[in-house]
Amino acid sequence: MTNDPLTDELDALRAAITSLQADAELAPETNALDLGLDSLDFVMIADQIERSFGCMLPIGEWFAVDGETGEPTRSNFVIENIAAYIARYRTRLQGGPAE
Amino acid sequence: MKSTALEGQRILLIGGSKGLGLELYERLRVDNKVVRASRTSGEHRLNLAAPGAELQQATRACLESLGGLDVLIVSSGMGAYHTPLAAEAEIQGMFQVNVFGPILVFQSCLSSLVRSAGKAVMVSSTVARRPGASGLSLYAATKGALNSWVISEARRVARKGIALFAVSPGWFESPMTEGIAANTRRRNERSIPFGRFGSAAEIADFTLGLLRQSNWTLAGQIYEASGGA
Repeated sequence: MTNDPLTDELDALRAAITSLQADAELAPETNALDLGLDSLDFVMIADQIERSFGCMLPIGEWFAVDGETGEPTRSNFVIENIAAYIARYRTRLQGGPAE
Repeated sequence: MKSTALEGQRILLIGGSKGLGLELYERLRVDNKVVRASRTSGEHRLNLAAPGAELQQATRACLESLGGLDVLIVSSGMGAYHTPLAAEAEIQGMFQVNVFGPILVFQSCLSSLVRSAGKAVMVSSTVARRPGASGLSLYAATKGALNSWVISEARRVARKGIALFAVSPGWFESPMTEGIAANTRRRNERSIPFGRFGSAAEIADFTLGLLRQSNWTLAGQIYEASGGA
């Protein structure tokens, strides 16, 4: 594990996503929805993330449709935002601020 | 295509200590690795009425001991006659065990089932459809809800190769039907063209026959076995 911000989390997300889509091109600002990943793919990603960090991604909440747009809130699916969510969980686990 | 051989499979059987579940267990354990989970017995304790987090934890413990999952069978449930004025707690309890619990267990098994392109079978009941059964309306409602969930959820998980389906028996000999009054039993028997209740062994054989079919064949169906009723 490194100490760089979000490196571990981003690496884990890349590993989880490329296990489903080997040729996925992933930058931190990539939106996973644009890769064509669906809710079942996210079940698998969440499972791998939980195994790595013990953090359960709230994918049910993320896939809930926004009342105004009729779509899930896209920002939840940006790779670096997911990584940041995991990092916040890890910080809380270590007794840090909940933000 | 997923193998249709029913051997060497990792099977989680919710229930399995009596009735249909026990019949299934006795047949499946010969050629497969089977873990039974129920409220009072089996290799693992699992209470379908437990809060979601507890249920998830119990399911995961089962999956860990199996080392993955090829087949999930939910053969546990609650059946009871109710008066027209059933208490709120009774209604909730029935839905908890027969609907919420099975769905939550399935959710906890989902990633494992995706990995194996496995099968998931829910044991339902023909009482969910016409002509219904007076006094069993709550039970029927829970099984109807479960059937509806199976039909729609099966469409989603089929995209990952999973076969989610239901086995829907009519009246058959089980601990659940042992206690019914003699006149009610006679009336029910008369409603069955074969003139008798099925046996748990017949329903178990039927279920095992289905589990040998391909996922494409099984997905999204409610398979009835009812003596012609």
